[in-house]
Parts: sequence; C-alpha cells; structure tokens
Amino acid sequence: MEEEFAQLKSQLETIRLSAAERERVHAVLSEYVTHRPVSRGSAPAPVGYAWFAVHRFVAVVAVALVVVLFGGTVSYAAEGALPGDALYAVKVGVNEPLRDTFARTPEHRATREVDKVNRRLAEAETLAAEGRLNAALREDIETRVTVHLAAAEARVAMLKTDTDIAETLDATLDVHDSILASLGEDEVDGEEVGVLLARVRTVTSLRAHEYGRSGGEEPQAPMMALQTPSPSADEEEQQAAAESGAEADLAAEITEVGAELDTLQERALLGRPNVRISVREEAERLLNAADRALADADKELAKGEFETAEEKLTLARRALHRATIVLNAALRLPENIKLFPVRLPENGSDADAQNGDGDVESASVGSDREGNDDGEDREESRRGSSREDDDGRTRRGAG
Amino acid sequence: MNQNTNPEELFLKAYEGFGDSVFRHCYLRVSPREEAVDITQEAFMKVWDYLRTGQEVHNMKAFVFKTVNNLIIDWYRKKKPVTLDDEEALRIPDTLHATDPELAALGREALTLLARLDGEYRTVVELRIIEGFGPKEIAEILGETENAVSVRIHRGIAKLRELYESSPE
Repeated sequence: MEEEFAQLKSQLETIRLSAAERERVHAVLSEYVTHRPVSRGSAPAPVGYAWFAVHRFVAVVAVALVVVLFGGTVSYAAEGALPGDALYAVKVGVNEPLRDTFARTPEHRATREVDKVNRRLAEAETLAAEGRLNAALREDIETRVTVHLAAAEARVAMLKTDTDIAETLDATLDVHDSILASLGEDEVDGEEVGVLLARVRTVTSLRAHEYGRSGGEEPQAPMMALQTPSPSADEEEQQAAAESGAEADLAAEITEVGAELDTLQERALLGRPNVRISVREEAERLLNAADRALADADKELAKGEFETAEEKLTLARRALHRATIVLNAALRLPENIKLFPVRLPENGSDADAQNGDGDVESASVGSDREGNDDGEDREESRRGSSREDDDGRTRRGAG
Repeated sequence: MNQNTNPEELFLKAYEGFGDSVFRHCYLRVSPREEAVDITQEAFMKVWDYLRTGQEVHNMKAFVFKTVNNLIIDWYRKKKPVTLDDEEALRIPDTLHATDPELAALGREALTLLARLDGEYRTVVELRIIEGFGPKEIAEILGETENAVSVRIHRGIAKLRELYESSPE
C-alpha cells in the first residue's frame, strides 16, 4: 500500500503557495536570517537527518484518505490496464465502481462520469497508438463511451448552477477530438479511430447546438466560497463592503489559479522523459493562454470590472484544464504523435483551433476540417504571450 | 551531512522543502489565504529565532509544525474569544479544482469526511495521512506520548471508516 501511495503522490497537485507567495516569504526569511545571525559562540544547530530533501510534488488530501479507507481493495496495478488485458475487468468492474461509491454529491457523481469518458477514450488512444485498436476492442470501448457520455450529460444537466463540470466534459471531448484526429491520420487503425472520433463529434456538435459555445456562454457562477457578505441594495456602506469583499475573493482566486498555473508550467517544462516536443508545445500554448487570461483578469480587477475579471478567470481555468488533459495524454502516448491544436473556447483568435496542423514540418494537413490556418493563430498567440508574459507574471507577482 | 553548509542555508532549504506543506496545514484552518501565508512565514521566523541560539533540533519538520500549530491556536483564540472549545473547524477550500476536477471532487469529499471527525482524531489523522508524519513525530508536535498518538490514529481511521460507511448514498 505504501508503494501505491507513493506512486500516486508523484502525480498529484495540491494546495500550495503560489510562486509569488513563495518568493515573497523566501525573501523575508532570507532578510531575517541575514539580520539575525547565529549568536556568536553558539554552535550551529546540528541536523538530525536530511530533512531538507525537496518534496515539491506532494499527494493531495483525497487519495491519501481513499487509500486509507479502501486499503488494499483498490488494485492500483489494474489502473493501467487496457481493453483486452486481463486486469481490465478489475479496472472497470472493481476500481471504478469503488470510486463511484465514494462520490456523494451530485457534482462529484457528474465528475465521475466525465472521468470515465476520459478514461475510455484514453484507452482507445493508447491502443491505437500501438496499432492494437481492432474492431472488437473499438466496439467495446464505443459502447462504454456511449453509456458514460449519456450518464455524464444527464448528470450535468441536473446540476442547475454548476456549469464548471459541463466545461470539463467539453474540454475532455475537445482534447480527445484532437488526439483521435491526429491518430486517425497516421495510424494503421485509422478506420476504427475514425468511428470513435465520429461518435465524439456527434456529441460535441449536439452539445454546441444545445448549449452554445465560446462567446455565447454565460460566465459561470462564481466558484468563490470565501466570506462574501451579501450586499443590501439600499445600504451604501454594505455595498462598498460587499464590493471590496468580492474583490478580495476574486483576487484570492486569481492567486489560486496562478498557483495552479505555476505548478502545471513546472510539469510541462520539467520535460519528463516521455513528454514530446509537439505535445509539450501544445501544453505550453494552452498554459500561455491561461497566463494571458489571468493577466487580463488582474487588469480587469484593478479597473474594478469584476464581471469581466471573472470571465477572464474562467478562461484561464479552462485553458489550464485542457493543458492538464494534454499533459496527461503526453504520458500515455508514444513519441511520434503530434497533436492537432486543442480547441480553446475563447472569444476570438484561439477559438476554432480544430484545424490541420499548420506547421511547416507536418506533412498532413486536415483539409477536411474548417479552413482556418491555425499555424498562424499559434504564432500569434505565442508572440502575444511572450510580450505579455512578463507583464502578466509581474502583475501576479505583485499580488 | 555536509558540515560546511551553514545554518542559514539549511534553514532556507527547510523552507523550500516543506514550506508548501506548512502552508497547506494553515490553509485548511485559517482564512483568508493572506493570513495563512503570514502564519506560515511567522512560523519559520520563530523557528529561526530558536535555531540561532544554537539549540538542537532533531526533527526540523516536526518542529516547524509544532510551532505553526501553536500559532494557529493563538489565531483561533484571537478570532473567537468566546469559544472555549479549541476545536478548530476544518476549512474545506472550494478552489481545490481545475487541474484534475475528479480528484478535486474526491478531495472535497475526503475533506468533508475528515471534518466530521472529532478534533483530536482529525488532527492526528491529518498529520499522519496527509502530511506523512510518523507517530513519533506527531507525538513531538503535539507534546504527547507516542503510544497515545498511535492509539488515536487507529481509532481515528476506524471512525473515518464508520463515517464513510454510514453516510447517505
């Protein structure tokens, strides 16, 4: 159990100080120790053991407790199983149902379904990349995906206020669309991949039709739970207090998202052995988009434009989310897979990024898709982001 | 151990090593976020004050946690002078999210369960399971015997299971 726990630890993100906060405290502490040196005559404090070993990526609360509660009943060995493997039955028949029972709120239940959609598609992609996605396996996966998608949509529809999970579902579908499309063009099992891709796109277009996309979406309900006093319209004082409360909450949230962004950027840039350039580039594009949106959120906040700030914050979170899925995908797929750019539901340039890879190196151009030249978009967003990057970072640093 | 590294460097390395851990411990109990950061900082400063007098510290992380724990208790006293009960409520952050929403949801569920444990069980379970301290270290942090801590950990986990099994589906 300890070993499984250790494995999980390395994959998870957590509550942590943002880069800015960490540096700020570091600076204060550095000053402090400089101005208060060890007293003359006293021996330096001896150290018992190597307590300063750096453990930057620590486990999240959740998994620790789940492991404790379920002990050895969840087989982590089965987690990597693919359709056709002996342990796959354990993965979908034991592990996943077990995690399902741990979900008590409607929101969590909805997320569980989306998670399963994600897993099935990921399995298909891994198989396809290995040239192993035959018709039988594809059918199995397709059946499951259909069931999970239906369940996910049903549960999401039941959640009246929370559109964040709807976004998760859309993000999942968009990222897998990119990966499947890329695999479909290169791989032996192109036909099977194509069938799955068509299924994903059917759902995506139905959802787009029903719920609208990009600019049409309402900014989601604020995720801030912190103590925002409810304003009373006729009391000016309370109004002002409410605004400054809301502003503080929003500022705090920007910091939080910034911290997550920093974490993800570290992951992306650390260049794990099997994160390939093209996928990493894609993750970076998304992270840069998130960074830009976050900087915008800061600016809007400073101007007192709370609603706009929140919209920008939402965009940042979306980009971050997609970057995560992309990074996770990077761990599973072989080196030679190139991603088509992931759709980013932003107003303007990055939207409809579902296109052929406009880069010069890539031979295959998705001419059967929408005709925008995404290569250009990518360039633009890179240039834009490198200009704004410093500003964005500095602003958040000052926060 | 390299005896040539000076204590200042070692101290700062300690911060780099588990500053986030200390922050998380604060963050789950203290709000707003700013104050959690401040208390984290203050804890380290206090630890340095102790270190510079040449005192020995065998377990740095446990020592920092002990310090920060006391600061949190002080914070609670200042905040709620009326409450004699020292049970600090566990703050369940709403913003545990985005990077992996499903894990985040799982995290919230787990924290909700944890929050329902009685204070003294909750603390030891958190320190053991989340922060990864051993019973001996927890004993040091809380100023108790290792035995008492071990027993409490087991009981705490048992209660957690009970809570989980009896919670409505």
